[in-house]
Amino acid sequence: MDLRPTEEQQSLVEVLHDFAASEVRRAARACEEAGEVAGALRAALVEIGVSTGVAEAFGGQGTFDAVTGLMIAEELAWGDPGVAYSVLAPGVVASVLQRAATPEQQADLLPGLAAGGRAALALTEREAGADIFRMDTTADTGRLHGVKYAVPDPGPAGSLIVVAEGPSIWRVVTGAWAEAVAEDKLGLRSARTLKLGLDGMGAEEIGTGTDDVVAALLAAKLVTAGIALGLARAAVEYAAAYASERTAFGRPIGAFQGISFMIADRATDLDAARLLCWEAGWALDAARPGADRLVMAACGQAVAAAVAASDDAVQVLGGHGYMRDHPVELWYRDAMTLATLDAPWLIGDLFLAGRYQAGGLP
Amino acid sequence: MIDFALDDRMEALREFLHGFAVDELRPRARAADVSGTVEPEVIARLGEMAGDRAAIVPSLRSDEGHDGPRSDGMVAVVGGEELAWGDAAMILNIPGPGLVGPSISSAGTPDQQRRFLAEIFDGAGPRFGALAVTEAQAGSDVSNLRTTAVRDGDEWVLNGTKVFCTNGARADVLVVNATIDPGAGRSGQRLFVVLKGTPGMAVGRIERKLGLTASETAELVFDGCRIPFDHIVGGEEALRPASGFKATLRAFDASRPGVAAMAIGIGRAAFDYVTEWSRTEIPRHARRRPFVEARLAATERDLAAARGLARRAAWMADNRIPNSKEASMAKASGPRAALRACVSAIEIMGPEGYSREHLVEKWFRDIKVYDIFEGTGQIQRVVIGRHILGRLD
Ligand SMILES: Cc1cc2nc3c(=O)[nH]c(=O)nc-3n(C[C@H](O)[C@H](O)[C@H](O)COP(=O)(O)OP(=O)(O)OC[C@H]3O[C@@H](n4cnc5c(N)ncnc54)[C@H](O)[C@@H]3O)c2cc1C
Repeated sequence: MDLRPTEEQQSLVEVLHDFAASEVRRAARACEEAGEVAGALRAALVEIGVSTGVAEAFGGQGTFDAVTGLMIAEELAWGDPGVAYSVLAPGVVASVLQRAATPEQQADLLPGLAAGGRAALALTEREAGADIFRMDTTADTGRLHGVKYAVPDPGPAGSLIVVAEGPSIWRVVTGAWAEAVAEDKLGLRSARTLKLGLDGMGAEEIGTGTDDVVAALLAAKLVTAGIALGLARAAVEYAAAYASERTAFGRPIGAFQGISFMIADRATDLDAARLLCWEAGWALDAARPGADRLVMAACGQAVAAAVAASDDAVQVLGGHGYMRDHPVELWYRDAMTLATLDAPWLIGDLFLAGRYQAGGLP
Repeated sequence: MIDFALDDRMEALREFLHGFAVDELRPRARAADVSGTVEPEVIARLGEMAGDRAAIVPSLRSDEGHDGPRSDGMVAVVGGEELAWGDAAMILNIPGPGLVGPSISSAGTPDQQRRFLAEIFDGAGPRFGALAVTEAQAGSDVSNLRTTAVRDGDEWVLNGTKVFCTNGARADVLVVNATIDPGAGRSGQRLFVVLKGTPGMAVGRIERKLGLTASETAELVFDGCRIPFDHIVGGEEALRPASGFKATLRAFDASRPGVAAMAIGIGRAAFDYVTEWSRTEIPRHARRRPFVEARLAATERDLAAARGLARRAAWMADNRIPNSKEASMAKASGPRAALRACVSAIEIMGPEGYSREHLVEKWFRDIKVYDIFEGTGQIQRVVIGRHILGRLD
């Protein structure tokens, strides 16, 4: 066992952290007000070259393994979860294609993404959320049927990859989403997202084998888990800093165990969730048995850690946390929005419990 | 005999307020949330409707003034739950004295009660009261207040800045906590009445908030603000040592069960909404049902337990049984139970849950403040712990 990130990972995280601390944090509220990520911010991230990992063979700067992907998502989301959700969308598609598409499909689509092209994976559904094993969308003879939510807007020129039952993945080739209305959401408001009716869109299937598709989609889910980790960390850090400065009854409030235990618990949840996510990413890349179970468990833990951390961060700031002057209220809304995509007890637990039956456990 | 039934008059009040919530509050909730305001016509109408409510409430207070049982506490928890079920932010736009009521009626002189409550809140037009205690550096720890009141002949001169004051900018009657002896901590603090438009008082910023957006939360700046000497709550009597802070605490003691009940009302709104949703909207995935049902059941039990605590605290107050510990138990548990109810509801609804097309995301934003104002959840635990353990430090 070795829990040390590589030097490459460390320097990547450092660069991203600086960027998140200076640029992303500063732009977060403005992006939220505008309902989309500022063009300059998106361009700057494409410039850094981390938001979309594409192999050199296709004109990119190289791909990322799942654990590195988690680190990238965590750092960006530490800056702003909505910004991360939006700017990482093409990277999610690139990762899915590189894991599951045929060589021809890769050659067709990846160079555009490497050049900074937009794309999105349409995954979330009304009932299944981001449960890739329970999709209701169908794709009979290439005609899509269903409705997707929380789809990062790929723009009219971008590519749209749809997850359907099976799970199977499809690239939309006919039909436009330019008319689709942006969602009016509780949180992640800096990410412009669409609720997208797919009926009538024509699509071509990506890849051939179910195993590759499942692995690709599990990796995509881990990116969202990474966003949850970054959110949780931002909230815990903010609350901890506030608790050491704010005084009441003659002491920093962090000196009260009512506060310090809360922060300690949320920091522990976060570390546990991050370790589980990293283990899941490692297992996925190494194609180890049980990787799917780890991913499903990890996504749920990460989201739960984010919800609890942001709730408690608002609490630690008291009335000040309820105001828009501080970012904790934004994280509170963002975390709950992430939870609708991957509610641990409705998706992860459902998956895990299903296997108890199939495996013949009592 | 143990009896949990609400009497007929209370049941009638509950039904009346539920109808009011359904007809008047719920339909306006989203528009008010989006605009962050409630139109004056609506406020006037709410005021008239509240007048109708007042017609019922006095019949429940027939024994006022005696030492026998009262029912104001139960009215607050039963009514608070129904109204908040309708919409929590709209309630705060229903004209009335708000927290000024308990502060003046429990600590004010008869003359003050007449001048600042009866004569101003005479039902002739929408009038608001507001209580300004919190300052930027002092919330839970009220002894940290810096606003001063200095006597100058037959006037008081107020200086300082209050924050987060509900209805502070529009208030006709403001009760302000200030110190007459800055070195003395809490025992130097007194309550003062400041009427709208008093020179030297200015409204500062209006906060932009996570939830309860349609409720006004104002900063108030007092800069050489002069008020008559007899505006000190309690009059001459209040100048005796250690009488001021108790009055504030009494106001909060009385309000905690009602605030807990409002939180429960928000949680119940989310629970009712998602129960109906689950009946009609989750037919497909049979394997999901038991998970959803287990969550709904947990929510129901959670809210029911919290409601019991709120009603007990109110019942004790009405029967003049000291209820400080029980009021804190209610206030500590109601908002948490209700927050869990909102979280579950949003999760069950999935991506529809985060959509502003439904109110659950609003309830999730509104509910959070119930664990913060009127004494945070942590402060309630400190109170409960001290009652059980005594002061160990
Ligand atoms: C929407 C809204 C409306 C409001 N309306 C009014 C109003 O009308 N009038 C008014 O006067 N005020 C009002 N308030 C203010 C409110 O009462 C305060 O915000 C509240 O008392 C908490 O104070 P604070 O915000 O300063 O938090 P702090 O007191 O700074 O608390 C910060 C954190 O420290 C914790 N903490 C503090 N002391 C301890 C301890 N001993 N042990 C453990 N933990 C502790 C708290 O629980 C909290 O988690 C309102 C606030 C809001 C958000």
